[in-house]
Amino acid sequence: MLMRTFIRGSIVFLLVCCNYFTSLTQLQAQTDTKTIFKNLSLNDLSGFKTVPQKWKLVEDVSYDFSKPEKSEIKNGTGILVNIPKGKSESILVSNLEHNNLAIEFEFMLAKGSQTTMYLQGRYAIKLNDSWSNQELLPDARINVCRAPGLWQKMTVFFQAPKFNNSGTKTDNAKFLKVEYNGVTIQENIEIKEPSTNSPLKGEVINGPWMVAAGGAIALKNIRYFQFENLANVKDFMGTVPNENIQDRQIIVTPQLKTIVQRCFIEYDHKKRTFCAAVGHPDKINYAIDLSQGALINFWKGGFIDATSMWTQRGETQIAVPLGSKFEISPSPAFAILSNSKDKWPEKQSDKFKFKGYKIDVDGKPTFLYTVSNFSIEDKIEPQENGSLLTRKYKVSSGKDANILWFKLAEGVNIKQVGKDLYSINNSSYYIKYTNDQSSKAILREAGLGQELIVPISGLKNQTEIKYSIIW
Amino acid sequence: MFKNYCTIFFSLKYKVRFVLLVTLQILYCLNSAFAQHAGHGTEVAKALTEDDFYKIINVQAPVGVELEVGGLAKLPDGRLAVCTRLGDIWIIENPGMLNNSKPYFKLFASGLHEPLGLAYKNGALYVAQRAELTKISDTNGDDIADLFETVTTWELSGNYCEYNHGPVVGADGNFYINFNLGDNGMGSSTEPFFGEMGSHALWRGWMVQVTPEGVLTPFASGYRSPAGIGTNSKGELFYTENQGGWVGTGYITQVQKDNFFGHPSGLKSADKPGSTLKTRISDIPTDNPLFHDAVKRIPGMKLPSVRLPHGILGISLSGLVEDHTNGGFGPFAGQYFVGDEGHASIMRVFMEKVNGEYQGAAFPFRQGFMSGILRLEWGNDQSIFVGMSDRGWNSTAAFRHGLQRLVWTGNTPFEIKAIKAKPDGFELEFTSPLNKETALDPASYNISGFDYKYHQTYGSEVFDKKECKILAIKISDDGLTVRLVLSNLREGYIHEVKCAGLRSANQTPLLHDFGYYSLNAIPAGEKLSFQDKDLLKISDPAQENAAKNQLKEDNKTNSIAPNSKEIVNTLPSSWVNGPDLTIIIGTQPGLKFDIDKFSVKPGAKIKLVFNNNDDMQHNFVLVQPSSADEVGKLAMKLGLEGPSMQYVPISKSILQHTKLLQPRTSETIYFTAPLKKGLYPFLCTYPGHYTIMRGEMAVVQ
Repeated sequence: MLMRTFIRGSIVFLLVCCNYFTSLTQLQAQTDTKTIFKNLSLNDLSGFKTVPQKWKLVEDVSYDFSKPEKSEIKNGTGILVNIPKGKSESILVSNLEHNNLAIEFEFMLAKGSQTTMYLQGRYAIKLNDSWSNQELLPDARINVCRAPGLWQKMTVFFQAPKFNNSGTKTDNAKFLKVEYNGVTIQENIEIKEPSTNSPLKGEVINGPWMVAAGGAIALKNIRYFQFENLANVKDFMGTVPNENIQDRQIIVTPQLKTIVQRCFIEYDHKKRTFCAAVGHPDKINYAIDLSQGALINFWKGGFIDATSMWTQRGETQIAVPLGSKFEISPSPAFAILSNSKDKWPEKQSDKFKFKGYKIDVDGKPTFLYTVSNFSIEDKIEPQENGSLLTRKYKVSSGKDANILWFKLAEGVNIKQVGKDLYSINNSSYYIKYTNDQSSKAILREAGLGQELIVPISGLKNQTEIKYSIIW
Repeated sequence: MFKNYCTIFFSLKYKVRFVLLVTLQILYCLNSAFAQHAGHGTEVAKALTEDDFYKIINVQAPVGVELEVGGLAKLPDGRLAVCTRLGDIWIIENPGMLNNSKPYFKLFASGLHEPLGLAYKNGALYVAQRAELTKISDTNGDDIADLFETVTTWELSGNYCEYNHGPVVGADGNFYINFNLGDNGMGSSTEPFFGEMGSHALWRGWMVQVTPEGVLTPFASGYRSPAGIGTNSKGELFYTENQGGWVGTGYITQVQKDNFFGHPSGLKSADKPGSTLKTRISDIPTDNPLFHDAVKRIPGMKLPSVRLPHGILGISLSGLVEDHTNGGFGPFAGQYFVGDEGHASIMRVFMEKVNGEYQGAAFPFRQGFMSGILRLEWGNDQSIFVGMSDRGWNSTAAFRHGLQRLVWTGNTPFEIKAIKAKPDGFELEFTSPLNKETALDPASYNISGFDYKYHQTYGSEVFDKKECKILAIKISDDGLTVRLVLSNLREGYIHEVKCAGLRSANQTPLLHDFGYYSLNAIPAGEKLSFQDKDLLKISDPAQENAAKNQLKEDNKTNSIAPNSKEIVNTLPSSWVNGPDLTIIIGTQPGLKFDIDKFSVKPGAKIKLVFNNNDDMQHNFVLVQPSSADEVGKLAMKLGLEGPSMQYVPISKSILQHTKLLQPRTSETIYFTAPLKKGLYPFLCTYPGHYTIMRGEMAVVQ
């Protein structure tokens, strides 16, 4: 049910609660288009014709989650940032003059930022911080945008307008497909004419790729290729349609109560068979591997596609998260370590037991575990209108001399960006943990990255710790 | 009265007479739907049907509720708990619909992962989900489950076929669950020895025992697709098995600790800690022995209590119950009822102990349920609740799921009540007194013994079939029991007992006139003395000949040779330019061909490749226009010879056909399309498939 409203003169590409619905099939294949994308080098500015003063190359950048004026940059190359001064827009014009274009890039916005990208200098794609500015459209189904200060990804397949020999237009320009943070949000949208305030007028065969920034934005990993037609590009449209025509698609949607659905979850192309997918009516969802206590997926929007579980023989039995999902470490969420330097285990030990779960009057689960003499109650629920997913552990101990450690996050890197705020894994999501709690979080090196862990002593009778995920 | 009808009849015009005769014939055929094989001697008029004795009543679910029943449990207060394959548990108040009032459904729990069984114990409901045994409780009394405790978990490979049937509560208070094997995948099997099913994780292919505290112990092995599990009133444990690789035909059997039942793949776990099983993979013979012979050779293996010949008595056995109503459900107290997922039917099984082990006979009982049956459970009112779901393996029935009740009308059908083994033959007990003349006529009976093979091939044909001649007959004074002294009784063989010629004292035929006795052991004891004055010795040549002729008749219709039409599997040399058209047809899950329709020119040279991609047997049969149902029904009646005939009946309506193909094999046939334009159906005639698995070849210009 992909619903698009066509506005004369431009295509308004609203990134907040757009009115769309995915029809993801279960296994997203590796795209072959990776091999034909060309990098737009950001080692220098030679790829650009016009570079206004506000734009520069940096090595790293971070934007404050809540304060738009706060940002940090590290000098170098590889990332293109716009540093806003005053109100005027600054239009970056690349050397890339294109007809049809496939372009993929990552971007990060500061709070409140609004930027427009123009294909052929005429057709607009808006990159706005809608996370902070929750303009809800009617029928909003999936919220795929990320909080300010987190990296996001977009892939656009654009088809230029076509003309005959006498220069008359025969076909309108089209967005063949737009993918945002892994979710297809546009397919086959026709554009009758250039956007209202486009820098260049009229419709042409070739035009330049441009970015008009209206606030702080960072761009990196820009890749593109030009094409005649996409028929020969493998996996352009996503996965090959399932050969077995299903009778119907089965989408599970929580209405008034939370749904806890036991299922298999596909993680890193392998089936995890001891899982539950939990969906809330306010469209915050997660999947947990109960054999490890590990929160492995979280996402906003639609809950799960259960077609492969409940159609015909249910051959894969996999619940498929609908929407732009995060996949995070499946290693144990908590474990006994003999000291703070011990390597985090890959799997729970035989001292761990999953005991089951209870559900409250709204259907929300509290998972129950024991580890040695520790008893753990684990409740994960959305807070603050769905902008946080909070995990609260209640730990009671029967006089255990051990220390039970809780892993709040792990990633390639973890940066403390606020008193209680950490940015995880190259700024892909945030963890909020109040360090005034019973225990201070320890940020430590681990393997090829970093971990954020919290110790609970077994000699304490009852403790509570909680943290929140923001994305 | 009859004379009047004759006069009217013969005054009709020829054409009208002809049409009337044909209509009557069709009506008669429809009315004798209970005959599943080539019966003889059933009369035309007033045949009573199963519906006259046991009625099927719908239990209407609320709109939008899809009752794909996976489990049923009666609660102490008479409510019925139902769990579904979609993960819900419903509790039904007034399931028996007292005085025709409506049942009331309440959703108790949801979010479970395909629970296939439900047990009530001490105030809680227990389900075996895909990944664990769960205890589900309502702790605050609002009739909604709020505590889901994990009793125990187990290894899974994630294969969709790793179903867990159960739990049932044993006499020892422990839970018992059957671990289905996994599927071995499409394409060539990765496990050529084990066939189309395999054990891909610890204890798959076993029955396991779980204590209430969650300690799991392997209990018995050799399971394939053990869809039924249950106990009797003595607390003895039983299970039902499904035909397939290593399982020539399905059965119901008692289970005891460390029994091995046949499928070798579970033996991958035989050496694992916890197993006390004596059987090992090296014990499995690979020389395709007869089944009873294999049982003798494999340590730990015993003959299953009662085998049910596939295609005749079901094709996918499932849920079971014992009749413990002491007469409240009719004359079969102490016997067992077994559901079938493929034929949407229930069979009846009589068991007795010989040499300390159960054996006995299976009979048809009731057909006509709305979907494939998975579970049976007694209500408070001595009716049986029948839970159904055939999604993924469509049954012959019209719907894909449902819940119904089977209720006794109070009328006793005329049936073979029991067949008991004797040192020198069988003793047949009937529900009503027999007509003496037919009872003492050897031509009324037809008995033979046969076995299946034990091999990796899916299913089995019937082998070593030999007739058992009737040497003497004795009828009891009350006319309820007949003792047959037989030749050629063979231990370990299944014996087909047909009694088509019998009549009751009221001249009615049997409602079901055959049964199959698994003669696992011939009991010791006194043989009937030939000095017995009540014993009728069969030495009369005329009667012997009658028996011989009957056998000849049987053999003619059940000829071993397939359809006499010659099937061509290689390119005919006369086709110098090759075929005009090549058609490749495969299968899809849910009993489907992957092509619904294709068109050919009249007389075109056709090469047809049939790929059986499925995990069960199928064939491809091309028939004359509008003949699909007729041919499909004929195939259902082929009886024991069905497999050796590829389930292709002898019929002029059949144009072309392949053999019955094993899973993941292929056959190519070459033929010339008919000259006459029209729609020629093609179908699979494996019993139970023909109503769904079909398509059309259109012959057009």
